[in-house]
Amino acid sequence: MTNLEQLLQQHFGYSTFRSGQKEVIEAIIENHDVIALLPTGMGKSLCYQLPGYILNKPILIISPLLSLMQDQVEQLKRFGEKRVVALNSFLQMSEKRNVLQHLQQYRFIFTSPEMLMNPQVQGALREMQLGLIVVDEAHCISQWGFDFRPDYLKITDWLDNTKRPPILALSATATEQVVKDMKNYLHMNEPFEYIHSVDRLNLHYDVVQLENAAEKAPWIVDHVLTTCGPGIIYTQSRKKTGIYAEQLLANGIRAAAYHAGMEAEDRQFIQQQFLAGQLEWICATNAFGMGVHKDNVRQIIHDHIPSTVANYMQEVGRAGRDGQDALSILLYVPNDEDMTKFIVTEDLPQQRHVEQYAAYMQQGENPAIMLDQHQISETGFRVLSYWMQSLTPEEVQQKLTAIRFSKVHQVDEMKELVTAEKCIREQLLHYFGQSLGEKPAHCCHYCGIEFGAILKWRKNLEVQENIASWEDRLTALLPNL
Amino acid sequence: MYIQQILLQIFHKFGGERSVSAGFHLLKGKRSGQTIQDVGNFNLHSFFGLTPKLTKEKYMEHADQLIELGYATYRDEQYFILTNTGLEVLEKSKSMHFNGWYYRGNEHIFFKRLSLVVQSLSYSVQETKSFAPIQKDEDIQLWVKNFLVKNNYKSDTFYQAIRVEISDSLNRLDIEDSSLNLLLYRLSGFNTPGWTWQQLAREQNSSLLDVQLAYIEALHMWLDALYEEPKRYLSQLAEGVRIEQLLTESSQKTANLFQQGFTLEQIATMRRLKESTIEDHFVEMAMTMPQFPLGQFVASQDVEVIVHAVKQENSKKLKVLREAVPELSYFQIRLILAAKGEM
Ligand SMILES: Nc1ncnc2c1ncn2[C@@H]1O[C@H](COP(=O)(O)OP(=O)(O)OP(=O)(O)O)[C@@H](O)[C@H]1O
Ligand SMILES: [Mg+2]
Ligand SMILES: [Zn+2]
Repeated sequence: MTNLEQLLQQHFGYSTFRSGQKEVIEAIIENHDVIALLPTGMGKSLCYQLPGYILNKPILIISPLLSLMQDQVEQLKRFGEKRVVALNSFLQMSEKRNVLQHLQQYRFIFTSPEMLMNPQVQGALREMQLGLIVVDEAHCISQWGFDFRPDYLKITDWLDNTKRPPILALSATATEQVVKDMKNYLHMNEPFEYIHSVDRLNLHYDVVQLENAAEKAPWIVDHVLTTCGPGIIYTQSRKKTGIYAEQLLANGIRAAAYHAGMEAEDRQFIQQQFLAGQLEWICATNAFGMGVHKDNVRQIIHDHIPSTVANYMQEVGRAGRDGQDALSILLYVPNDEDMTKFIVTEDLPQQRHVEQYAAYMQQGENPAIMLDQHQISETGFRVLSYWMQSLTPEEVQQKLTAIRFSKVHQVDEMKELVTAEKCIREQLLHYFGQSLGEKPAHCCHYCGIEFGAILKWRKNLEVQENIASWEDRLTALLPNL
Repeated sequence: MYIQQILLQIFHKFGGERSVSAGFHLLKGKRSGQTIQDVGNFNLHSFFGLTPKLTKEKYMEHADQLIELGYATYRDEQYFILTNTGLEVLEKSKSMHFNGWYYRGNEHIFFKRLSLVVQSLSYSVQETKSFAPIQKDEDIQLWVKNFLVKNNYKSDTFYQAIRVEISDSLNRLDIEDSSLNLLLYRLSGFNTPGWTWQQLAREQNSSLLDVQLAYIEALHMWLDALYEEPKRYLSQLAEGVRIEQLLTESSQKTANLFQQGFTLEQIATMRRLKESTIEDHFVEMAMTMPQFPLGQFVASQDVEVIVHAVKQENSKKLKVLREAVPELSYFQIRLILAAKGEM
């Protein structure tokens, strides 16, 4: 066998594997199913990228987000790989037919769960020989599959289980329950499990209790003015991203808002400015995260209770990818969890929706009328029709009650993490079924934390960049030869 | 205040004869017979389809603001007329150079191509081969790839030529620097990210909508100039962006038959459409085709009569004009109004 290190150097220019990568790749080559849990930013992608140069058959990667897919495709192209394609709804009809006919020629094929439900796509995939099937961000099977994107539960249904290639499930944040779901729904066969500690020793977790919500914004402005970034402020509403950004800007901080309602180009500009160091703070909804690779993020601030501990981990995991110390601060005002509970259950179908749906079916009418008449959200309808296809209305009611209960419970777990008089690191590890090894100094707000030991104090405000003349700007873009 | 000035201009030209929402359809670029006729009758080509994404609520907010500022007043609840203050403001404001009728949102195609070309060159001159393309639209990507390959983009000659062409053609525009800044700051390249609309609005102490309108005006002016100049690289980027086919599809069919010598009645029979529909097509033709043979439908002295009546009655309302000139049909009056545009 060719030396794996040689291949790593040859195709990616790295001299050593990071922990877990080699073990996972070896198991894949030996034809095992694999579950790999590696912390955010550890290099999960490499676990399927390298096998692409060993297996000699195309690798299928199922990815939850379009932007993420795009990101991975571009990354591979940067490494000089040409045989990579993304099967998504943007592909034109004629183009799609062409791509599907020549699928076997690609080394990496990216797609989404929704796309996999397309009979044409399934047909093409069934007729070819794949080397490996990868489910990226595989925790989505549990986190979203039940009530958000039912298609996630069906991603391997089209496979012939007797002669399929190995399956690799990748995630940064999976509890034992989630790992169980992965095995089940992906029909995995005694998978090799590589589970890295979710603990990131360079992350320090603080909680700041405030009396009322109105104190949050002034606290943030004051904190940002006295400490150094770069950092991300996570908030729940699009409107608030703008409010925070404006307040920081007014105080001379280079900040910007980011949310999914902005134009795609504007969102890219913000990401690039942040990467280039032209912005110090991003005020964002949870749309900012996956696929953002900035190594030196020093602070994450939450002004709310995230919807699950796993989401909190994902968002906090944006910080300190360079291995240097980083600080996470969560601002808590009693009963903050109520708002989060409202948001996570808002889109779930109600009892009356189930009844309506059943009534339409009985009358032989298309229940999608409910959508046309704006009686239910699109997400809600998708969930409802998924369950209504296999269960009786009574069972669906029970299911929905269970989902509602579980979502509320997950928020409570997050609240517990914040309010319990216990070490946060220990609780996080416990949540993911792991136990604490060593504890760093300034571990968390319970163990004691001192900002000065982790962060640099701000000495002066960096000068805001002024707009240059258009001629100078042109020269910056296209320098004179 | 672009949006304010645009609204003042629109309502001024409407002269209280079209409803407030007619202005909304105009700015959205609605392709209905009524809106197209408004464009012709009130000579509002430049504003057609400037803001396809504008919501009715936002539009009404801006319209109501004219009332609050005392620039306009309501007449009969749905018509706006300018007050003297409004007229003064309009007179003092600088002239605008939109050309919505000919671009209809296609100016964005031009800019997307340009932005990907500039990004590609910006990276390639730094010897950085791979980058994440700022434009995700695969049609644009394909177009730009062909353009670059065709023009041998790695050559210094091409690089220099397009640099100079951008700079020269922008320099020749009679436009404020702040507008050119908008164009340049929506481009991005190696270590030079673009700025968001929000950031630009803040920098220029303006609103989101106003900086976007200023940007569109700059694009229209640039494109107009490129179509005048001898063809070089930038005019290749502008290829197919200007709408040459100004008639709606159905009207175009009628126009073709008319050119083959068929009469209005014959065309109606052949196309199995009502005569009134074909009449609408003819009005559209009269409005958009400079060579439309108006003389086949009305005598030249009748045209004078209508022009006179419009002045006399100070109205373009069909009913008013018909009463003033009872010997002409509604169809004839509409043709004259359409062919004459602003009087
Ligand atoms: N062996 C290695 N040596 C050096 N750098 C590596 C190695 N493996 C991966 N990287 C780099 O680490 C960075 C993060 O990798 P990747 O995007 O795969 O992380 P991830 O674990 O998928 O993170 P996320 O949870 O955010 O998706 C990339 O820039 C990648 O090139
Ligand atoms: Mg990843
Ligand atoms: Zn602790």
